[in-house]
Amino acid sequence: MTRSLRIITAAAIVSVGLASCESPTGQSAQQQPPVKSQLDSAENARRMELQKIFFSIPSPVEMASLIKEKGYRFDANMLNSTDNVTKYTGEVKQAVNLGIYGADLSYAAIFDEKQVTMNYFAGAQKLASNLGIENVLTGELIESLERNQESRDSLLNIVSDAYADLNGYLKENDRAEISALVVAGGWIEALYLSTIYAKDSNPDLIKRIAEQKYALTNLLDYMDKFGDVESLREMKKDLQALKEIYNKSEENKGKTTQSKDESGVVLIGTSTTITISDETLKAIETYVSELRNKYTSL
Amino acid sequence: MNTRILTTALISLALYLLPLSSDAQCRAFTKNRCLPLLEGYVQNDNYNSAMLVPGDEAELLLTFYGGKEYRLALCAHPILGKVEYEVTDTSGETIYKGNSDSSNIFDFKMANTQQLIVKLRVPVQQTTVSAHEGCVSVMVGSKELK
Repeated sequence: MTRSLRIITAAAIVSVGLASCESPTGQSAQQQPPVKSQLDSAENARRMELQKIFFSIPSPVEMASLIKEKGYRFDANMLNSTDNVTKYTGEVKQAVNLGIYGADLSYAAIFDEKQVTMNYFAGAQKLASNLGIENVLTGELIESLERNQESRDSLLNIVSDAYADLNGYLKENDRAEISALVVAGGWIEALYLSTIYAKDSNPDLIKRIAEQKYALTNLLDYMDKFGDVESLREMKKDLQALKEIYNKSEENKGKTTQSKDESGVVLIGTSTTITISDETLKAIETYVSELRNKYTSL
Repeated sequence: MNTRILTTALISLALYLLPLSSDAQCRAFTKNRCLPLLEGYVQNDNYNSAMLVPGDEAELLLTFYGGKEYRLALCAHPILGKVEYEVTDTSGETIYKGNSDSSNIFDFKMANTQQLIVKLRVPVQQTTVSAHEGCVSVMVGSKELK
């Protein structure tokens, strides 16, 4: 056996030894009761499975951009005040409000409200830090926002990339449940803002609100994959109640069509429609407002 | 002798930490290698990356809004080979097929809001060497229709 091979063999033996003798609590695995050990291995398997799940719903930016596109004006009074940042306690409320601030950030960035965007980013940074999330929403990103104030697209990219990275950080640190709450918070806030603007009966906004049934179903399916975990229990119940209202919507399944536009880009269409009555829209507005207030209240 | 002990200790530490760092590498891989594929688009703020091994299959249900232009980019670590992906509608009708090697970007416009499914499959490697895991990211970016 050559010298380098002997070293690598020795290293492998030592590393296997290191990996096998330490449990997360520092106890020897052999000293743990068999039941606990089985539970640990089931929990590890569950966590490994969760790591492999791909999940996505449209970002709050996509909701906010329609509001801007339809000619509505920005109103900072609709947002959750950043004065509340330090007052939120408990992982669930902090995570949901981190998502809510993320949606408010996107809304401010879409409307090119530079100072509001900066304030909300700083607020989100504090809340992330309170949740134990470090080195994601960094001071460098705030400096980058300051440097790119003149470009709305740059602001949007910095905000979206930062939140995607934050969700990645949570997933890789076995806190995917917290990431799910952040995403849920952002989705609730984007829907809440849309329902306020939809009060003047803009058909495109109402259609977009109806289409949120897809995102809601996807979000609930994702949360179900975690099983009955304490941190998601309340949010799942709340979203399930909203889903019951959405179940009153009418969906007509149609066929997908494909063509190419004049520049050769694929254009995908469908005759599938999803509609909601005025009564259902009102019920969604009322419920989402209550839900948002429940999570933003101190 | 001391050098040998130090080398052994460093290699041991590296081997011990390797599984812990793979997910962190996936996040860094996504940021450094995949995010640039969405240039000109605003990234969806979800994190769609995972460490997969040969033979793994995954599925992602996505909602795309009408009146928007999208870019879907599959980004996979080369160690996994050609990761194949297929975009279908919810009834299973194929819209696009590609792989991480030569056709990893799919640009399209949505006339109406619709849910689409992205199915991906990591090829099984014909080798006697043990399977390696690698990062796979499904990147989604959007922009307004001009």
